[in-house]
Amino acid sequence: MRMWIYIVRRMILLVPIIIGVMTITFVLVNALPSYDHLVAVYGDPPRQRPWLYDPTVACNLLNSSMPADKQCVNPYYHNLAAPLGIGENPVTAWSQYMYRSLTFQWGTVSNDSTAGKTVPLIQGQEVTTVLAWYLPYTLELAIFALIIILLIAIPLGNLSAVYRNRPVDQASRVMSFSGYALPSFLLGSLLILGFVLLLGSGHSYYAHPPWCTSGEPTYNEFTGSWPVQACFAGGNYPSWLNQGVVTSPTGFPTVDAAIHGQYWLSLDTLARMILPALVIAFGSIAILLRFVRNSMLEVMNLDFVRTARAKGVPESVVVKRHAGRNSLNVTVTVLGLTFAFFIGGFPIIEDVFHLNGIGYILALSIQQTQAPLDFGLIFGSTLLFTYVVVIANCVVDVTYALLDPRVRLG
Amino acid sequence: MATDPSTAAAPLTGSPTEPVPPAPSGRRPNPRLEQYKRTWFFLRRNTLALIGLGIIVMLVLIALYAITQPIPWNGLPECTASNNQVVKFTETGLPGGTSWSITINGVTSSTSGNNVTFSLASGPAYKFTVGNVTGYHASPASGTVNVAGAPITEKITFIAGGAVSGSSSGAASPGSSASLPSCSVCTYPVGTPVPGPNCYQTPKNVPGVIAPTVSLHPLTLGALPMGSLALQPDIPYFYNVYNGMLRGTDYSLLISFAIVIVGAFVGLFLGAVSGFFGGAVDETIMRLVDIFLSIPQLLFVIIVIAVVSTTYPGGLFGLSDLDTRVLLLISAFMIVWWPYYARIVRGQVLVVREQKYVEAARASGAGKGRIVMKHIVPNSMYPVFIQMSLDVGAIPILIGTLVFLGFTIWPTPYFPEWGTIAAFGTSDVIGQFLIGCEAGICVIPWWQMVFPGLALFLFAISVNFLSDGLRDALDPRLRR
Repeated sequence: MRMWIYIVRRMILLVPIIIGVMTITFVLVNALPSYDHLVAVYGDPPRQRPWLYDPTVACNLLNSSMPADKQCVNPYYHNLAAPLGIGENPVTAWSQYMYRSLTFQWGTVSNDSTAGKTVPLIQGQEVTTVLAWYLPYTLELAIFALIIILLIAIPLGNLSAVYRNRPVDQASRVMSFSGYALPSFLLGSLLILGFVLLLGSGHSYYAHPPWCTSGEPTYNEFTGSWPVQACFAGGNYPSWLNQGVVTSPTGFPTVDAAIHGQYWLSLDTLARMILPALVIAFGSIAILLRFVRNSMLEVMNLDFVRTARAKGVPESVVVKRHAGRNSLNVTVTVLGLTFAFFIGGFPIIEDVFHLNGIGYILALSIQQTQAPLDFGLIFGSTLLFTYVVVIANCVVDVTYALLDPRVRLG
Repeated sequence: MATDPSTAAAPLTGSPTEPVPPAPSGRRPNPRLEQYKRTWFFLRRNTLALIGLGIIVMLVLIALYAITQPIPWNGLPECTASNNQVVKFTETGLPGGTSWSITINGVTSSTSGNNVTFSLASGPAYKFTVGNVTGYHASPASGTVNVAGAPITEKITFIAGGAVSGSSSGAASPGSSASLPSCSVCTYPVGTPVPGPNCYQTPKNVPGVIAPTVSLHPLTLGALPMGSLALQPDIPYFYNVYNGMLRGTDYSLLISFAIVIVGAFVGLFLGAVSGFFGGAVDETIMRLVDIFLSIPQLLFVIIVIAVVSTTYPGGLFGLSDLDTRVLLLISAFMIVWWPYYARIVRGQVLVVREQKYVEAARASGAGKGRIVMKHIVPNSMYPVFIQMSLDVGAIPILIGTLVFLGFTIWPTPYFPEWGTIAAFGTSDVIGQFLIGCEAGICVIPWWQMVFPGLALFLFAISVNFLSDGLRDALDPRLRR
């Protein structure tokens, strides 16, 4: 009963956080330049950045205070949920923005941004639809990486606390330092280079995966999540594999492949996740390992552990039951704290390994050397990442309360 | 303290005036100073922490020296843009894939594409000749270009069936007495040997890729100690990685330290206030912390920079574009960084405010501000130091991550900052590798990735060592 009260109280705490985050994004959306400002800065007609003024771009913003030929020419606006128009009441605009954010009306993907040009299928689509297409792959990768992190960090942290200042401890400490100090894009690229140099880009596995009867191996095939079309016998390309945009029963690639009876493809998708998941895990292991070690060291000096030892409880049981269980609280807390860091690593990994996840589409949307930024996708993924982090923190707190009765009773 | 007049009027009864003990001859030891001494005592015994400290001090010294160095963005550090001009020859009339060549100033460059590009010192007039192409007649077959002020494009038209043109002795007609500028890094036609001091040849298909010239046995740096970074695949300009790294020390350290110090100050203040006063203040500040912790860091930085730099392309507050972007980067990172410090400080303050010495200060009538500033903040600092030293190494890596993703942070693409160089170098290595080996020349420009990556790694790992040492030295519980 107490637990339920705690959970409900924790849920109520979510409300101000979500309102606050969306207010910040609302302020940022409205800090985007207005047409008048752009004209004042760049001159009229603007020559430096013609894409700002593409009149062919459709526009959601109807602003009657401007002459007809100047309306809706700023594509930054057309793909945003609800920017504040000139002369509009900020409170009304804010409440509209809140309503649209909560009901997942996040605007559309721009036609002429890098993301829209690279993946033509997503042009003009709703941002939420596009994110929903790409989310399952990222989720699978995240779960995979999380399993690796927990499998490595907790036992290693316990070991290095038990064998403090021994070789195991030193080795794990070096690993933790390097995980923190190596940029993930560098590590990922080094791994790709190393594997390609080691196996050769034409290695038989990459040239002809088991289900693959013909087709040239390409870079995308080596690191990408999906095999090229030619890999399927006679160009028999499954309808649910559509240039990285998955239209499938569940959306999760491994599950879908299994549903379609392609067990090899299912396994292969998992196999291709190993390297990226390892790279993602490496950075997070570093932080978690250090906290597990320190909390173990603290717990093992506490009185009840000494009592257990004095009673003659075997050391392995002391470590596992008495100290280990108590240091688990810290593990959960740190996981919650580093979760934002953890999912913040996805864009770079999916970019390096060319995986079709949310991170990849986000990486495309922020490229502005050739085409404008896709503010719809950027703000949309900010909202999505925020929701994920907030919910994850909530889950972590509830788990913490389950593990530690003091939290829910105190 | 207010004195009660009744007790003041009754002297020499009771014992109001105990003899004050004579002041010790030496100065009373300052407890905080003692704490720093103790910290140093423990830190001194930690070899790794000392190594880390040494590396950081060395980097700061390098950064101080680097301020005096030129900024090597946009191409060549020594052959400045005012010194060199691009001379471009474009052909029309040849079928695609046919090889043709231009000889200028004794240097021949051939291509099967449409353009041949030279970079020549401004000033003299150069003679050029067009090499023979069987079955075609070039017009003009030879001529003069005046290199002064602006880039030059010369059009060559090939006419089929014409007489063999461009006398075979064309390559041997140096013409003018001008020579290529003797600078330590020079440009030259792609794929040709360059007659000049300190000029380096690049492989044919990968222009601007020059291996490091540093040699260890007799320790010499050479012109390009850390090799080159190709600017664009089709022009023969390149970037001196060593200069970029040197000047990058400056920017990287400045930005990282600024972010961490400002963020720590804000977090320290808000965390201390929140922990000390509790109640509604605490709730408000902690909800703010929750909000800012929920925003994805990198995305927030991206949005802030993108929005402001689009709205004010000329820079804010009369600053230049570059200064504005540096300021924006620092403030955007600071905004997402202070909550971590606030949370840490609050936790520590909650412990410290229950201590006896705080109670004693309150009992002796110290005001709230004095208790917070003089008693609570100094004693809640040590976890902040540890976290600061951890965070400072992560910032160049985060900047590199942004650049690697393709986000434009700087006004010029090849900005001298470690993360930026590492990101460009890494993507270039992967790009070069994927392009693969052509015409028997196979170069993987490892140096573009290794040297900046090593700098990032060294910086981050040395602050990690230092942070670990600080933790051991400052937290007595872990020393047992």
